Amino acid sequence: MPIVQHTIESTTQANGSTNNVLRMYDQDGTEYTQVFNAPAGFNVQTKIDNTIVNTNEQLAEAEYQALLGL
Amino acid sequence: MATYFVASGGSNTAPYDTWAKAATSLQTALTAASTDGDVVAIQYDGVPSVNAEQTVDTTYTFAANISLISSTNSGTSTITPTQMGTSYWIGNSTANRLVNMAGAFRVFCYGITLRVSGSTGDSLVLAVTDGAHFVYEDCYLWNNNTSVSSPAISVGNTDAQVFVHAKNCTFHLNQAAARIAVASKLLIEGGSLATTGTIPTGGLFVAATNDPAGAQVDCYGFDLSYLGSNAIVGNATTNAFPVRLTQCKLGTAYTAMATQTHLNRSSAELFIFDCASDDTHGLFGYHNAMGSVVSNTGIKYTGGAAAQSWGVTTTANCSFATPFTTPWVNLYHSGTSAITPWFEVLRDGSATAYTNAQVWGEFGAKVTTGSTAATLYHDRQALVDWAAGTAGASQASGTDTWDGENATHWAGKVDSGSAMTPAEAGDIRGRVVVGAPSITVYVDPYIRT
Repeated sequence: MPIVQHTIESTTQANGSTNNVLRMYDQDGTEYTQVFNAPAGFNVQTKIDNTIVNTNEQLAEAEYQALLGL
Repeated sequence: MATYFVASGGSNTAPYDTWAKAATSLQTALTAASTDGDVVAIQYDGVPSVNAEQTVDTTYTFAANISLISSTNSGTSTITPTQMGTSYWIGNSTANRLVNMAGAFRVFCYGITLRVSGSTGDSLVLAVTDGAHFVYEDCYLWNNNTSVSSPAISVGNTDAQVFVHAKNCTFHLNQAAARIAVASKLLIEGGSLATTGTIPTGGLFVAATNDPAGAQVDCYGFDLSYLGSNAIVGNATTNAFPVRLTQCKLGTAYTAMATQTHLNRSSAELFIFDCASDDTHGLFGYHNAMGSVVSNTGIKYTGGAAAQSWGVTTTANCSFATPFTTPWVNLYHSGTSAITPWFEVLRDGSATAYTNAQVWGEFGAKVTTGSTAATLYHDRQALVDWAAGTAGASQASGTDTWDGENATHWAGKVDSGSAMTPAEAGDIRGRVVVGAPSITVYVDPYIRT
């Protein structure tokens, strides 16, 4: 069940860093949430892309294990 | 108390009581050290080849409550504690040879380096026996194995009840799937994740995969910054796995937890006390499968106690029946008058009040004279109304003195629901409970009375 959509909410912190809430949705509409802080100037989009890749890998692994009854 | 020496240049002469007569195998000395309080001293730069380049998987079995000290060879019978560092080790530098530390005893290890290598999956197990208590101080714990099958530095590798204390130790991993696998209790104080090698990406700490016996991790002063933005805690599929970090250094834009298979509190949870990736102090975090609390200095109650709010974000797994609950906040209280304590809360981006079916407060106080037992109070919607499908009632308005919020917002408060009268001096405790999925609530983490 790959991630097909996501949203990001960011709030800027006192020191210029950001607090981010990433909500990812798979093709069934199931939501997966990650919350992370990022320093000022950090490439948040790269972090989002990596998080989605990692989540896809985890979901594929979980699906594989479920199919095998592990 | 006897001392037994181990050195590659020893004569291997019992009772191994001088460097000259040192055993030429670590296990020989460990077997001889069979009385509580015995010490085994191993030459830091003279590890016998049978131990430094093991030809087979090896379990080092301790026979009593003893100490294993890495030492300089003085030539006499004195011990000068000296770390092996990355130049010398017990294990193997190229091949995959498992290293197990065994024995159901209280064992203290100073300065040793334990090293596992190779490319076929193998582990370094810091305590393998049920009932083992191993303390490692200034040690280098090195699993350089590059197998994709999750090489691990393990704390118990079966259903083992063990305790490992790593004090000022370096943990060195070298594979994206590598991890510190915990089957029981791990305490890390000081030390770091080595800043070399392939960075683990699936979660540094994981509960061991073979149904551990209450896996948990406490870290104080541990530097995990080499993890970068990768997950601190992996997917916990075998244990309700708590990890607590206090005054640790985290990676930039770290991920608290990998996505959890079990979408509830039977999975992992992570507490973060006063940790950050940089020079930002006093931040707090708490994460589980139902949601998270993260310090927020951008939106905060004006003049709030710590110039920060708690940003509470819930996941899709959260509901009225199985809500996300923040950690408790304590307030010392010695008065005995009736009070109705409350938290100030904020909804940002919407002026619609949260209801008592979405967000509520829970408080506890000692209201019975002569008893320490707390009584709980809350302002949650009544169960009978919830069960009947009745919409919740709007929570009361708050003081509305916040900084950093949108022009469109709702400022409210959640309280104890009814007055309570503390009868004994002590802490009042309060927390905010969020029973709606996928929402954000800002909380001033201070109990007002």
